Amino acid sequence: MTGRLAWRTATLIVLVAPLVTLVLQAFSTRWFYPDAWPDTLTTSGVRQIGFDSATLAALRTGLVVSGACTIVSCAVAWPAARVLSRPTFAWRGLVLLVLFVPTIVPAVGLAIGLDVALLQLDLAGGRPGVVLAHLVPTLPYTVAVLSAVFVRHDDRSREQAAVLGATPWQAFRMVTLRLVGPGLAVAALFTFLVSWSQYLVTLLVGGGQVITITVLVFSAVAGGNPTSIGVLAVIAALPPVLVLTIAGRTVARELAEPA
Amino acid sequence: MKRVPLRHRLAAIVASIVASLLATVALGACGDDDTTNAGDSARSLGATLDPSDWNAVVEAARGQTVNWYLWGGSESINTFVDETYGPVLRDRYGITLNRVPVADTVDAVNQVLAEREAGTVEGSVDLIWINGENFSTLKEAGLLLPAWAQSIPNAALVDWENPAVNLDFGVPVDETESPWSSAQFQLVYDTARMSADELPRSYAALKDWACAHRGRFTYIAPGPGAFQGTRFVKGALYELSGDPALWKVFDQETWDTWAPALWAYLNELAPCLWRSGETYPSTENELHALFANEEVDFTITQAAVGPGALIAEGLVPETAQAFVFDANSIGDFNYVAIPANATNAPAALVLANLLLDPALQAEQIVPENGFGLGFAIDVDRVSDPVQRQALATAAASLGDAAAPAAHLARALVGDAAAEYQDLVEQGWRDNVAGGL
Amino acid sequence: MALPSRASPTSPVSARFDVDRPWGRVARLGPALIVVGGLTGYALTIVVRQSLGVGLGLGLGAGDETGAGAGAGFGSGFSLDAYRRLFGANGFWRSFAFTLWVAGAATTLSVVGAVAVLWHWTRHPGRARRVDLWLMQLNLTIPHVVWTVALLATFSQSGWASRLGAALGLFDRPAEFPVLVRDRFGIGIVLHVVTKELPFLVLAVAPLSGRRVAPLVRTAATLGAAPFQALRRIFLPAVAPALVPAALVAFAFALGAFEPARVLGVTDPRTLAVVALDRYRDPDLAVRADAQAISVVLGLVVVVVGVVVFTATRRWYRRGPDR
Repeated sequence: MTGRLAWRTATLIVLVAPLVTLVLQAFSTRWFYPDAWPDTLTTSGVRQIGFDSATLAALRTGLVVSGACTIVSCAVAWPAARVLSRPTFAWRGLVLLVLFVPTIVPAVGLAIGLDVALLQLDLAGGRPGVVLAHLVPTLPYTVAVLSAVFVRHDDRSREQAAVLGATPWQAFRMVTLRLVGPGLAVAALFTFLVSWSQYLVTLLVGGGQVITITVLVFSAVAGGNPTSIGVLAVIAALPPVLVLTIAGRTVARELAEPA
Repeated sequence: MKRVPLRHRLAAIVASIVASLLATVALGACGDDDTTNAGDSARSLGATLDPSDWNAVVEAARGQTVNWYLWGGSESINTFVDETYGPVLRDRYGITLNRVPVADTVDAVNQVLAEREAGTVEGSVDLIWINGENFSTLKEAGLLLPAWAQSIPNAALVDWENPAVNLDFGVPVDETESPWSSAQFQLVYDTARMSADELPRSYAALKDWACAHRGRFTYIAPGPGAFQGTRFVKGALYELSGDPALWKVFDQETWDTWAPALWAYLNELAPCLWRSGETYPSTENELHALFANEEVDFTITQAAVGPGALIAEGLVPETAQAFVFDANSIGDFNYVAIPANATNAPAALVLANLLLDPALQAEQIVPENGFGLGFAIDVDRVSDPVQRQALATAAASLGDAAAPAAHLARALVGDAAAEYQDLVEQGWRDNVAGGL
Repeated sequence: MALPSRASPTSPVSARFDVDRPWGRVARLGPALIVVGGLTGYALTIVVRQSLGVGLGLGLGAGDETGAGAGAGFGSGFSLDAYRRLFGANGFWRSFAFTLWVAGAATTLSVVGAVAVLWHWTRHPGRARRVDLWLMQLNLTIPHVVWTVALLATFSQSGWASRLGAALGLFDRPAEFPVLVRDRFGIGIVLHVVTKELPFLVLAVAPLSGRRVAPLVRTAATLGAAPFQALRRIFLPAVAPALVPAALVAFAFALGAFEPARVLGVTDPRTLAVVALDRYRDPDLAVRADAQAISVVLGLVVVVVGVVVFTATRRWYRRGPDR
């Protein structure tokens, strides 16, 4: 039992304590060494910085960019994943290799390359360009999750529905979406998380014009104000945590379910 | 299930590859085409403006949004900019202020450079808070709006004869940028931790102090985005050479003569520093945090109010106070410049002029307002008695945290020529930090 | 997205674009391949070209190559200068070694840790697992920037951990707290990568190890296999097809990660990712070639490591778990 206790303590210190520190910073000012706890907890930082127009704009930009990226990524990955899940598809390995190149290119090189590429295509410095750039790191994950889903639920059920007289739309809505829906949700969640976390790509391709909350956190780090850093970091962590909390059950089921 | 013939699979994969290659090539070709004549068309936009016809400028600026790129690393400066200039621009001139925070001014410079590469005529940057190397980069590339800084109405309040104003790190300003504020290198200590008579007052004394209190001092690593650290090192160079005037004009021989002594001093200092000099804070704010949390006993500031604005923001303890060495405290002016391809150049001109407004100059040095840098204007040139009074009141309200004005004036020296910036930063990396 | 069904009476056109027909596959794979393959290929081509001094755009100052620069192909300005400069630069090899050390140590620890967790779960399926799973999922959702800031605020010498220690009387001054972040050996960066990548590896491999491997391991145990034997001969080969590629992804991430290296690293040596970005933001375009050269070097490291790792673990792929 001491083993379990040690493990639990370690996970609490390493995985949970850092998040608590941020929350404490967000709700305090002038919390200096050696005070183990802030003198007073206050919401003034949250009120000032959390509801600042720049923060709200960055939050909106982040949601729009990552939301758009998720939708496009899923729309593009869906048909690709269907092909990749076919047992008769012999080029699977090669296509997967191409699609997974971005995950093994060191991030800094990929970000720099995408920035120059999109500058030359005259797409840098705007949201569409940033969404396009985010697709590169996100699509591999979307395709991976969706392929696994399609491997599990192939087209046979829908064929049966069709044989039983359902229209293609009915078959899609009532059979495919029912079966694939949870998997699609997990794919969308992953895509959103990967996109939301992008800092370097957003910074470079956005060229200072597209400021997401993730970018704002990093500039707050340079700003050195612990309260601002805490507030912005908590805000940046909230949407993904919320999404996970809502979708958590689905994720757990999809992860645990045998194929 | 029927096997799909091999040639069909081949056809599919080849078609896919060809399609992406075609798209790549086509898109790439478009990108490459744009690079012609960028500079010419960009310049013509600004040329239609005549800053001496001020009413026309103000009229043209009405309804515009001015995109002001400035270092966004200080919460309190951001707030000051938004709350001080934003409302005046809106109410008095019908201009919307869009403050674009950058992590380092070089990002704004790169944006302008990238737009030239792409041939963007309607640039996204209207105004940049700038000085030193970033200024000389854009000026030499011919990417700044020329011939305006002495034509805006409030330019009359600036002492353009002063070499500290008309030279920016030794580079002639030539009316391509207009001053906003002044800054001077100072150290900050905590009156709760030590008394004024314990303070070192020269680089030599600082080394003794640091080695007597091991690990309680450090400075900011010189480099891009950390000019305060570069300035700390330059001050040491001034003291070692014994003559600040030596560094006004670039001379490789002078550098080669004194650089070894500089690196020797810093390398002797290093083992006495925080973490034994194995790492240095990379920004001003990192050093503030180390100071506030009792890891070190000094921090560095450039503000006329000393740590006043930092105290107001809650970054350092209320007992913090500025002081200067007896000599070699480098001071200078900082500026705003307008890129030649600025879309809203008229609004940028109005804002540059507004920055010099005496009432707002008075606002910027009040510690509680969070900006804290000194005047850009020469207060003796202000004739309006009300404005004079406002400036005097502000100057009297600097607060206890500020270093005594007499000490600041006695120690003030100008910055070294721009060429030394790179030499100090690269040399420091090579000789003190010892790496890439 | 009404896709044609093979069972319903179909027109020749829709039949041709069926998911099992070549054109149907081209149409379905095309967009993904164009976005990922095309854009990545284009970006990587630019990086390689620019590292060789080609197409750096309109030059600034010295060596100004006007107009022709951007559009011209190989032959104009082609040079190995950037690589020569880089390999000859003061401290390059130190940074290179430091980067490899950080990425190698972080990946090794993540893989070992992930295997330990998964092995433990395989042998002791229980309630505790749910909490761990949730914590790991939570950690995975936290953006890197946020996590890096959190680690700094907690584990710096005057961070929360140090303050709690001081309150308990363990330390008198910040300097007495162990140097865990911004340290010479990159412990801080390793800590960031391990805490982010260990959960990633666990979650990437868990479905596989949970459903297929656990019964095998239990069977082996009933047949009298020692735990270590079961781990080596059954568990590892079985999870390898998921673990090895995921580990390579983690390695590539550690190698090119910017946020933790920038925030939790020291002034010197810096990881190559930090140096690359520094060079890339230099207004002098010639210096930017250095950034591209660093990117190419990092890319080659991944390729070499990838080839080595896949070769070393190949037998597991071919054979599957020993039976």
